Amino acid sequence: MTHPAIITTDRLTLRKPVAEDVLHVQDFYETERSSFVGGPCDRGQGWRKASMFFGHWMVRGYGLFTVERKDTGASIGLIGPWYPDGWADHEIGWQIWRPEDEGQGFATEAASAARDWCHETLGWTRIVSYIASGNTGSEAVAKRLGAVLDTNAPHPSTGPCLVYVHPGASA
Amino acid sequence: MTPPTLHTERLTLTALNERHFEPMAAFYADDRSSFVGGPLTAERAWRVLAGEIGHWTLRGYGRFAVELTATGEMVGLIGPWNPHAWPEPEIGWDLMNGHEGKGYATEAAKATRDWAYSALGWTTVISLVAEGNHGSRKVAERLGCTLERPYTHEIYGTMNIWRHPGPEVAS
Repeated sequence: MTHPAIITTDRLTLRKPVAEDVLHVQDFYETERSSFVGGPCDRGQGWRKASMFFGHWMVRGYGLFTVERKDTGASIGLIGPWYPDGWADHEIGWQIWRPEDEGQGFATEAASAARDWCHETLGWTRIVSYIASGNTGSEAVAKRLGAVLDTNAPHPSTGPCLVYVHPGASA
Repeated sequence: MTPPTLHTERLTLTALNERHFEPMAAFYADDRSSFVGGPLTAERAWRVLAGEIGHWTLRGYGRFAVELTATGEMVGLIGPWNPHAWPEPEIGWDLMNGHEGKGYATEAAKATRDWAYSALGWTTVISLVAEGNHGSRKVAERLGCTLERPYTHEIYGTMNIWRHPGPEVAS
């Protein structure tokens, strides 16, 4: 099924999440790969996480995008603006659901486009990414995006983590 | 789906949004929320709010913000609720602090039950009431429910399943 794209890149489309996406979120949160983003957990708790991700859109007017590959049409992850209560700064977050979609630069490509969108559409100036200590794959994405580790930045309410600060709108 | 607006004698049932965060955070900060997964920090309560709204995205229905028509004050969070792995679709009710004992839960739950029967086509519905939650049990009794059996959820603990009268009786 196709849904209207909000952002398009060379290889990806970013769109608002829809109900079918919940199955991917549940699958992902059952695996150890979700351990850096609040998992793993059973399918019931995965459903509640998905409902919370999707509800963020209605509360804030924006939220994580579902990312689709243009070549296969497959939905591969959630990437985009994230600002729940208790967050010290506006965040760009990312999760790629399956290992076969890693290592091809998809997270970097989608997050970069989402960051531009946040600058232009939401008027965000300071943007961070919160990364769990030990999540070296995610740190590599942040560095490729030109984000810089800031050891003095405030942490989110969920606890200590690595705070990467993204370059400004003109970068 | 965009939630409809329902009206009862004293209440307006409408879509949840960010303006309902404050009363929900106060409810979840209080021990009164212990029967429904609380107490929670404000940050966790925000995620509960987002999750309630996301339930509409995933299911096409969910709970309503219940407001006093006269003042717009939020008095409850009430309506159809059916997250993943729930025993059956239910009508759930949470009364915000200071609004107990005025019949609001009964009045709003009845309106959402009628809506679930007429708009969603439900033919039967339950309500889960936590062991020891006497206030909630009274609401179930006033709604004409009959006690069916206990049900234990691995996270939310032991609750009783109350069965509502069917569409032909309830309306």
